Amino acid sequence: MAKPAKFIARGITAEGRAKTYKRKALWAIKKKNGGKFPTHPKKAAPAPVEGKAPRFYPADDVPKPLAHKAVNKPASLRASITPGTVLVLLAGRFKGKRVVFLSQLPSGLLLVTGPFKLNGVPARRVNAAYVIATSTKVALPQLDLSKFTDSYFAAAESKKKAKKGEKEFFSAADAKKKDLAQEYIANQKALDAALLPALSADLKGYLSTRFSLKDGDRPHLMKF
Amino acid sequence: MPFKRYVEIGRVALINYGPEFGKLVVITDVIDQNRALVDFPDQERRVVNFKRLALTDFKVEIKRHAPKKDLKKALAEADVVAKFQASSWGQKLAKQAAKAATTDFDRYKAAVAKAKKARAVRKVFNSLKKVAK
Repeated sequence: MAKPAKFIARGITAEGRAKTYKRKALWAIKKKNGGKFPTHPKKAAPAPVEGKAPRFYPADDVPKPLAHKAVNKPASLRASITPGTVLVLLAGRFKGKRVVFLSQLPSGLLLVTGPFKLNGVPARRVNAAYVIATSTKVALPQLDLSKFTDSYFAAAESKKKAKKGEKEFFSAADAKKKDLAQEYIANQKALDAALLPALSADLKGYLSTRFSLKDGDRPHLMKF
Repeated sequence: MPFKRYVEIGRVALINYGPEFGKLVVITDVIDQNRALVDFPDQERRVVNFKRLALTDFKVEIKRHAPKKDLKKALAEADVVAKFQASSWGQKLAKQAAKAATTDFDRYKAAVAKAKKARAVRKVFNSLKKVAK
């Protein structure tokens, strides 16, 4: 990169044309492109659509939607969360459970599991904001996590969310509990089987108990 | 009962407040009713209010405004730091620090050990109670 220009006053550079040319090392760019500056030809405008011109123009301005320039980037992970870190979940039906962090999904959510055998937390996605990272790490074996994608969980959730009308609500009482997909159960069992041998007896006990605050605990001063 | 710990040159004291909590210092001069000049190897000589000092049993033989070199020598001779750490006060502080540094996993292990111990004690206690009846 070229050094930034020196200014003797606002908008007035200390160096002239020749020196600026040298500073920016424009000769190197020219040399690279065979003695000429590279040119970037403009893209041809799309050909106007053939056909009749409209008979009327809209009387009022038609509002154009604003340009969306923001790109959704997955949240960057805290340094304290690495694969194998034991996390404490803080919200939802599994609050207080200690789980093992497996990986971060492209959506930015964390893929965690109990393992299910120990504390009943299946492979699931959690928001990093609702999690305490502990300093305890589990040595993870080689895991095949290719099945656990965002769409894998999204599919499971959308099935759950089918709205119930009045009729279904009253008939729901005698409806049977829905069974989970066989594939989902098999995936969880395979994951648990791979994870469990890596855990010591102490760690197993640790993961199967819930975290809670006791009398006299000062969470802002506690180390995790 | 008379006092045993006096504010005097060479008195070892503990800072009991603020960011320097738990640091040992030696009084090298008394400025007025409220403040002392304190010093210690690896610390800067500074003024501290007596309200922030807790006097210990230890005293080193130094002159008023003793230079760091003399202070270091006197402390090493009297072996003050090791003696303080071995005292019940020092041990209490060490225990508190160790407890504050425990992680979530350590706390779990401690809770399990405590429950295990309580079970063992209860078992023996109950068997003794049966015999006594």
